[in-house]
Amino acid sequence: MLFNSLDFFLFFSAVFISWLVTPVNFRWIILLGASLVFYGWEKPVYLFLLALTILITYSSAIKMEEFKKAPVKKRLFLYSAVFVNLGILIIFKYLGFFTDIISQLGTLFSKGFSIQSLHLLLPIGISFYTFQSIGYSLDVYYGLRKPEKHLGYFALFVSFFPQILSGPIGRSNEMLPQIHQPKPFSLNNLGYGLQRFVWGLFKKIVIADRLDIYVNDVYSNIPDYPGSVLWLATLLFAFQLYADFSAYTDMAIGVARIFGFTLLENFDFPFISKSVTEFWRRWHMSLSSWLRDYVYTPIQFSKKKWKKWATVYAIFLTFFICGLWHGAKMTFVIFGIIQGLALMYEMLTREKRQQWRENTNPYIYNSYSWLITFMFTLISFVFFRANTTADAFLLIQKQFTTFYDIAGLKAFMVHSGGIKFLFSMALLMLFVLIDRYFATTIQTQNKKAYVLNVMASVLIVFILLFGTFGKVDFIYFQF
Amino acid sequence: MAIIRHILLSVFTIAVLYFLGMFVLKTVPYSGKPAIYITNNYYNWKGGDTYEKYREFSKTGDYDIVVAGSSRAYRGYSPFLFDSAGYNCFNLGTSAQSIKNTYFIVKHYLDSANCQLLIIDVFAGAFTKNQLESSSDLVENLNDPAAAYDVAMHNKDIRTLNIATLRFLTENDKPYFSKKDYSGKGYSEKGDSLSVKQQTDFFNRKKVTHKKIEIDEEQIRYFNKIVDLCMEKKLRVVFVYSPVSYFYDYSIHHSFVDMLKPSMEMKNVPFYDFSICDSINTAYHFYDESHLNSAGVKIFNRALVTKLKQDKILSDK
Repeated sequence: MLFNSLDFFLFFSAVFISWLVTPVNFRWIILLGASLVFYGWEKPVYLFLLALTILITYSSAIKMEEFKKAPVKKRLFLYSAVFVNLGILIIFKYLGFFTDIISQLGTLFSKGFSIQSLHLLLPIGISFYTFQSIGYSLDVYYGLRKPEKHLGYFALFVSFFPQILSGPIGRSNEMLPQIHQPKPFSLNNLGYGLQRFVWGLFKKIVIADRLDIYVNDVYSNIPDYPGSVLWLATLLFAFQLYADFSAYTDMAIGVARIFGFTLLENFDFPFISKSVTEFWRRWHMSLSSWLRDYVYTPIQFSKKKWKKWATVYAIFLTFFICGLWHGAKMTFVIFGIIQGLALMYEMLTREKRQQWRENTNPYIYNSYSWLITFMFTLISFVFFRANTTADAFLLIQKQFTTFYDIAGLKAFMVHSGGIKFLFSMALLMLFVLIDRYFATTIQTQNKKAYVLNVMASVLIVFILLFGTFGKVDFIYFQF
Repeated sequence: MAIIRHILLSVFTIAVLYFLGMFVLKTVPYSGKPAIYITNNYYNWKGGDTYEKYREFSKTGDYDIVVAGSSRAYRGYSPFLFDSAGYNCFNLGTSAQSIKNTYFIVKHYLDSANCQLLIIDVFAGAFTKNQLESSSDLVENLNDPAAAYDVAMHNKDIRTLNIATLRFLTENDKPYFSKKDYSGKGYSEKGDSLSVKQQTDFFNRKKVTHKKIEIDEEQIRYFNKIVDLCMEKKLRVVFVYSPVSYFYDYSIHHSFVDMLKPSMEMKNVPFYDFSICDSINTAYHFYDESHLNSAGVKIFNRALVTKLKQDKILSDK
């Protein structure tokens, strides 16, 4: 069920009214029921997988607590939880990818070699709730939190409907205590939640879905377009991806806040970053902090004898996993690897760059750093968006060989509607200009209530007048 | 109380800003037309063949045959050829007309008094989810406001409501354009043949890759509703699949027709599948991938009249 659909509007209204009329101590039951309905809306069969994840993670955590003085048994229960959760993820998300690779490698050595390709339908949101569950198991294992004894509360933690499909990936220490607290209705929460939701809706249907039309056209016909158009399409994709994913996050945070929950923030204006390291502190923050805490830090710690090479190794492995997490495609693996390589470069050249910064005009240094980071981000996003690795390499090759084709760029603009295309670009410019002000004002609520209401009303009018309606899935649903 | 005050203030602000925005977009011109047309795809200009034909059609007229459907209808059935065979005919086909929108046209324009036989041209493309092009055209150009607002309200897309607002604001404006190939009685004639590239593709037997058509369940539901509505209005109806070119994606044709058949058979509604018509040749009888040219229309319409006469659906004149 999409947040920007009539189905969701009706669903949310029913849940909100039920939640409102239910005594405070029992409101979690309404939210759990709603979460299960929400998750099972398209394919109820996937509720079994979700239930399996909940039950295994819940019971293994209790067992870990029970055997806290028997490390071997405790570790056994951790492994069983991680094994089951990762197992489900691998079977549904990566089995097809791995069988395809084995098949391709096999044909290199033997012409007659073939194995059955096993592509299963990917349960929506599986990467998000699996990581959330594994994070919880590790927290309990490391003694960072007590296991949750209440199965209903735990089930709500894993399946909470605003975040189950595309995050933000919740952390047990931040989410479970909130579930335990009674959640009375608050007008402030309602106002904040609705404003945040409307801001997300604006980004999704006025900006992201509008850009999707142009990006889709170009990325489906790469050989037909010159490098200049491919640069433009990649630039538009970067903003589409940011608007789309941050829109989902805003809507998820908004809906959760209406029910009294505060979710983690996921974006902090990533395109102003002046290094790739900074970019990952601002982009998909719930994933990058998860990877930092549960992958990068343990690897780095376990290899601490290697000194700085432990960091290099941890970065590479973390971003390899990050790429693979995004999707079972070689393009995502390459996306992760090049991000990892860039971070390794930044880590290894930190001192030299520091010296250079001290000897350079700060304005020039910062502008140059921003430009390099932004260009790198664009090129890495080619792998994120391209349908195949061959497409991605062809696109990059054309970007660097026919980037000067202004006539081709003009022809693309005319073919894309001429003045209608320019109007879309004007809306994008407007979004770039207002993004920081609107996002900060709504998040911090630093204006009077009537000002915030007028801002939300203006956004609604923009949605009504300039929205691109129709069911376009959120990009991160595929992960 | 505070919550009610906030809601009222927001609703009031949204309403004022919305109408102000629409007024500005209607008033500020771009190339002589309201600027709103540049803000979104499928915002159709006021005017063209739809505007003309619905003003030309008489609800109190006495038509032997009325045709409804998409561009394949208004370019594929010539009322003048039917006239020459002795049948007074009018074509109410409009651009990309979805079957759901055909329902509203039948509801608001036709009954057994003004129409002896309704021919609905069916085409898989008219059964998909995307109805905005059709709805926008009808909401802007239908002369019956009740029909226009009915289409707008049932489209489940805010853009058609914007067009309905624009219709209200431009009620007294003249149409912004007319179509040269509009020949009257709802028909648009094209004498051209395929482009050189399409001719080459055809003779080299090269197929064009099409986007897969996905049939929308709601459209099927409206197809059944049309059959019921015609029965209720005592309006005789037949469904026709007009000829398709070599480039037509035939992969879903049979499953699509099978989807329609149960309802037509149960209610005894005739269906004529002319999708493959031996005497029609893509190179000479089509002017693009989907539409017959005037030579093709002549062959098809004669064959259809002959068939309808054979089956006693049309009486001899």
